[in-house]
Amino acid sequence: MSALLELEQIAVERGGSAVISDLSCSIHAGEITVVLGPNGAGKSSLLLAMAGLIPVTGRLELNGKILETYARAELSRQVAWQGSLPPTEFGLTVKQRLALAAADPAIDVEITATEMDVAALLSRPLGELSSGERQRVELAALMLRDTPVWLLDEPTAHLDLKHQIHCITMLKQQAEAGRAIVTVLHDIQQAMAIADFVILVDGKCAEGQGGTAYGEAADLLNSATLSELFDAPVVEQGDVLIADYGVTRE
Amino acid sequence: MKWLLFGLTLLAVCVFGLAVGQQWINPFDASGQDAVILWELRLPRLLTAFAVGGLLALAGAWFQVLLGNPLAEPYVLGVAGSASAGAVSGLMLMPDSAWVMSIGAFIGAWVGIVCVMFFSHLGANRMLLAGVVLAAFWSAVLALLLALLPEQGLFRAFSWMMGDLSHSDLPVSLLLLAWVVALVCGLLLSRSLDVLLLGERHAEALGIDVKRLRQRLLLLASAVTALAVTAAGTIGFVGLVIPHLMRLLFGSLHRAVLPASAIGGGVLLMLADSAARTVIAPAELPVGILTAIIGVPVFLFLLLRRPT
Amino acid sequence: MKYFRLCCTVLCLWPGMLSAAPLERILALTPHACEMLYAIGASANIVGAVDYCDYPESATHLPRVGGYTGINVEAALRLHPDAAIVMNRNVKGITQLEKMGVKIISSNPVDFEAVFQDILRMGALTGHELKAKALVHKQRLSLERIRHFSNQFGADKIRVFYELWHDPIMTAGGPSFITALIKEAGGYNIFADVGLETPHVNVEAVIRAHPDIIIIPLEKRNLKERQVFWEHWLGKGNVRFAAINPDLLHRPGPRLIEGLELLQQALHDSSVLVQSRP
Repeated sequence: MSALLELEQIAVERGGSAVISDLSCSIHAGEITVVLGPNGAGKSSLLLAMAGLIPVTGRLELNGKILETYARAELSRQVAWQGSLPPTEFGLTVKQRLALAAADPAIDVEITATEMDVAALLSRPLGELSSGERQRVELAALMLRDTPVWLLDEPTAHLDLKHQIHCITMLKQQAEAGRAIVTVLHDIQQAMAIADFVILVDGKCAEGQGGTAYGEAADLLNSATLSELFDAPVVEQGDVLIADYGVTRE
Repeated sequence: MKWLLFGLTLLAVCVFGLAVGQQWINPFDASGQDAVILWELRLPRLLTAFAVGGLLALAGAWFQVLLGNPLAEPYVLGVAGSASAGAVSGLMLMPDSAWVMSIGAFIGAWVGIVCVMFFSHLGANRMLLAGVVLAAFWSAVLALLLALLPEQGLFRAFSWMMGDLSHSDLPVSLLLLAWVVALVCGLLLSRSLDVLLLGERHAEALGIDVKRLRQRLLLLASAVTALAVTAAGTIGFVGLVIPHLMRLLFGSLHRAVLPASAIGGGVLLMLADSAARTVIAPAELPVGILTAIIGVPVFLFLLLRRPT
Repeated sequence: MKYFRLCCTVLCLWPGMLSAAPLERILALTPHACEMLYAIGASANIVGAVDYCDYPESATHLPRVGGYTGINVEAALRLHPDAAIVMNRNVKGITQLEKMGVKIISSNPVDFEAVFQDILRMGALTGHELKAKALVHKQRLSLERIRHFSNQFGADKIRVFYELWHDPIMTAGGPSFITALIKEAGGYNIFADVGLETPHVNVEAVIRAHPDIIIIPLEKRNLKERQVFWEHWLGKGNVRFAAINPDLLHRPGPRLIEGLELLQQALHDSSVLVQSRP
């Protein structure tokens, strides 16, 4: 089975200096690839590069064709990107925002809204919502994008526990339905729950020593690797990995 | 329902603008001298006010989206300053010619636009910054020109700078045609403009060629501004206030905001000019003063009412 | 009221008239003062002037120390002036001149009596009292003659539109000297009721006011062009036109009486079209 997204010796810049270099990986349909790494390591930049929103060096192919040669409109039918929360200055309502994401105006926004638990917010302007609510709107907007590839930048940010679980479950279902998903996550448990593959980005690219790692989740998600990656203690407790906060409750 | 009320308001303001003046004239029953005043003096001026107001409001709506900044207005990138400098230069070179200020303003506006174009590839914020700095430059040039201008030219220069609808050099039909063309162009772009409200990244991810859209939008908004400035001088606040007011009334989507602004801007300027002709009749006030006097309180009210 | 003001002026000037020596080196920073000094034979006392002091012709050769935007203090001081005559003390540079010891004399007459008083004052300051008195006497006689003529016709018969400027259309309002001049000439300024010095008006307002005559201060403007414009709105033959050199009407100096004479002629003699004397 051929890869949807093929990255070969990719390098990405942010603000004029390289943040990612020499990354190779393939993203297939039905797989979830989780990007992990410390703040500022270049995870978001990598996602932007995969979405064709910033330039890359190296070979980046979508369906066997160089990604940069795609026209904007065509690319948007193949890849969906969920990133920063959109601005709220101009008073768009939730319903209008969702309608903008739906490629086909005939798609019923309200069904997806109900599914993603934002139906009650539909008539409210984005500016009146909390960050968590806005994040749920963004996820609903992504749900309206029926593209083979989804790129998500911290989909569970701002969400309460119920909606974090909802989001993770949703991603799992989507992958099972055949979508290729690349997502940046900060929570190790969430990563362990859904990752088939992992991209580790250590953010030491500028120093010339660090780099990136790509492999199966089972090989890379262990306490030693993650402790080193985050420069913070990660311990195994039974089957799961958890962060060691160093404090105990009496 | 809203649109029906809006249309009725437009009609009412048109009739009112024709009827009101130094003396009340019934537009449906005018003859002799009254008919001359009504159809040859008041009507062209009213239509000029409508077209110019609509064009300014459209340009304002476009600049706000283009720069992702709700405080943007047609003159924010210095087009008014460069147009004024152009008009005053024209006045210096040929003080006696009738058309010279309009031609100067049009050339000046385009010089300003070309300067801004050099920065259009930068992001919205940096482009805005470049525009604001350019605006400061143009106002300095304008001040210099005004200091050198012979005394007789000052009346004309100042009256132009405060906005003057009493003697537009451009034919009314051209302005109305421009109004229609601008609105149609705007409506064709309306879906892309809506997507641009989500920010450049999101718009690109949704398949919009943002760079090209921004260039087109800048060109369109600037051309419209240049035309409005050429026709009536620099009239402030219509372009800032009307798009916001229309978003409050009709929502943020451009297929509603653009036609509403094109009409609403016209209505505001028709009202302001009717007041300018009437308040201290038989003398006149500069219309730019009245748009600001009406526009500022409305804008501040919006600022207080809207959530941050 | 006029006499009260006159008395005040005289009282204020009295000590100066008695004590001070005549001023030898004067800056004429307003054209009407320049004209007054020339008219009373004190031209030798003028050491400097501003750009628009252009009458009589020899005044154009005076050293220039500024224009309408302000006075160049350095250039002014280099001429070692004793005094400067100004119309408006708020012009840039005047305060500084005063600080440097130059006596500032204000002259801003708003009616004929004030013009006469200022001519007399200039005479006293420069030691040309006799010539000043003779000039004022002559002018008073002319004014009497003009008033007498106007009274014959009964006031306010002839409706006058004074087109101060054409783009935008500006006129002289009630408080302006022009309105008073039109009245003296036996006419009625159609915008005399507007309480502004120089209001902007529109075509409609002029049409409604039915002017009999339009006075155009010919200042680099084409009379024919304005005639065509107004005849389009007012109808050919319904209105007369006259052009008068604005320097004669706008400068409250010794030539004002001449301007008034021309205005009266234009108002009452329909054969007059363009009037302009050097």
